Amino acid sequence: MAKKIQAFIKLQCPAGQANPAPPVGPALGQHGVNIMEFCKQFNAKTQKDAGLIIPVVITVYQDRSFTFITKTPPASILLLKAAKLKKGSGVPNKNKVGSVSRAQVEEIAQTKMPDLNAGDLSAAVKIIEGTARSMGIEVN
Amino acid sequence: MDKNEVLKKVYPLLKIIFEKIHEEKILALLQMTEVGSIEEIPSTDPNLIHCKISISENQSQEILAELQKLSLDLFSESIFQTAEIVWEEIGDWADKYQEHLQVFKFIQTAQHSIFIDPRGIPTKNKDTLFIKASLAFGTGTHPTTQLVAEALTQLTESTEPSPDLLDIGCGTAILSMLGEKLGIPQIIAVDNDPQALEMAQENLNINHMKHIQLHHDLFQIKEKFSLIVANILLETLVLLHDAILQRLQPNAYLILSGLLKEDEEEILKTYSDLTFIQKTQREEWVCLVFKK
Repeated sequence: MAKKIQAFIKLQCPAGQANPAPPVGPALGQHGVNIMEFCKQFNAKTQKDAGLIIPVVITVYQDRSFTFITKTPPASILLLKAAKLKKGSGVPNKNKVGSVSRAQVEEIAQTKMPDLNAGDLSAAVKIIEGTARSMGIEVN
Repeated sequence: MDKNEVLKKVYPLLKIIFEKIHEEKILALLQMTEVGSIEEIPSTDPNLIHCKISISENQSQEILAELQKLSLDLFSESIFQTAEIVWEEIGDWADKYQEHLQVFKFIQTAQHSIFIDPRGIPTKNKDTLFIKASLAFGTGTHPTTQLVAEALTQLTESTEPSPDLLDIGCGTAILSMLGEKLGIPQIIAVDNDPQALEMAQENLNINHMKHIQLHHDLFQIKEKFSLIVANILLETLVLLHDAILQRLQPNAYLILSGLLKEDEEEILKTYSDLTFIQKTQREEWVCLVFKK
């Protein structure tokens, strides 16, 4: 028989660096989830993406066991990384804040494919281009 | 700092509410300001997203102004409905999951039978280790802790107990305490996380451990050891290769875990200057033993 679900918890954690400080600890602890066990598993599974924030959905069952799925990092974050825009890099106070190449957009679209509602790569590329535009990032 | 102080500590959190259409932009801003983890709180309005975000104490003063400025610079508009800093006590949640835990058998061999009481309430049972985990790794329930514990016991029982042990990334000090129970007379447990060391110290006290010294910096430890355990993460173990090798005596054993099945190959390659002895596996996790 399928286990009864008690809660879904949605978090975004830095890859390889989840720790039990709030909000992760309280979010999981209030459902009786073994916080460190989650952190350990999450960190082992995401350490290769260090520097990115990874969305994760945790399903907590009534017996306090849990499973989780990680999603691809938000397109905005992949675009920022591709455009090498970081805090302190001097963001110009205009609509255009940076640029990425067409190849980089395709690469991001590939990465995001599993979580995008896109039939094929070209549809995924269009979605990523839209995100880039909304953020003031130009596609060359 | 005693444990109650640790648990009473307050953490700054950034609470924001924004429209769902701005989700990607908000995430980009948050990434740029290098905040920690984000919790999405269920909202009754499907068009609005409520988030709680961990920030460091030194960010708490300027983070709101910084986010607003970045938002205006990047998107020429303020995209937050509301944004405020709240200080949240970590309260009793850290103990809450421990309440549900049960005493369990950690090690069972012909020579040793050791239980873990993860509720950390000491009794007189000498076969039991009392573990308070709170904010530290190492409750004894994780497959990697169990695999290392078994490898450590097996090595100790099949040869003479090692004269010393270095436990790198000790967390609650669970493996060091097992080492002392197995008869290892000199143990150094090291962790660079101050909160882990606080919990480790408390665990050493409630378990009346006598042979374990705690240390916060591996690189300051000059001794060489006949046995080293490190239950951390692939990337850290790769980074620490030289530091670990320098601290192994000739013929010493090294037990590595915190590794997923797919990490095995990289570890074998990185530690190819040692002799690979054995691999054990539970679920998707592996533990590798080497000899110098």
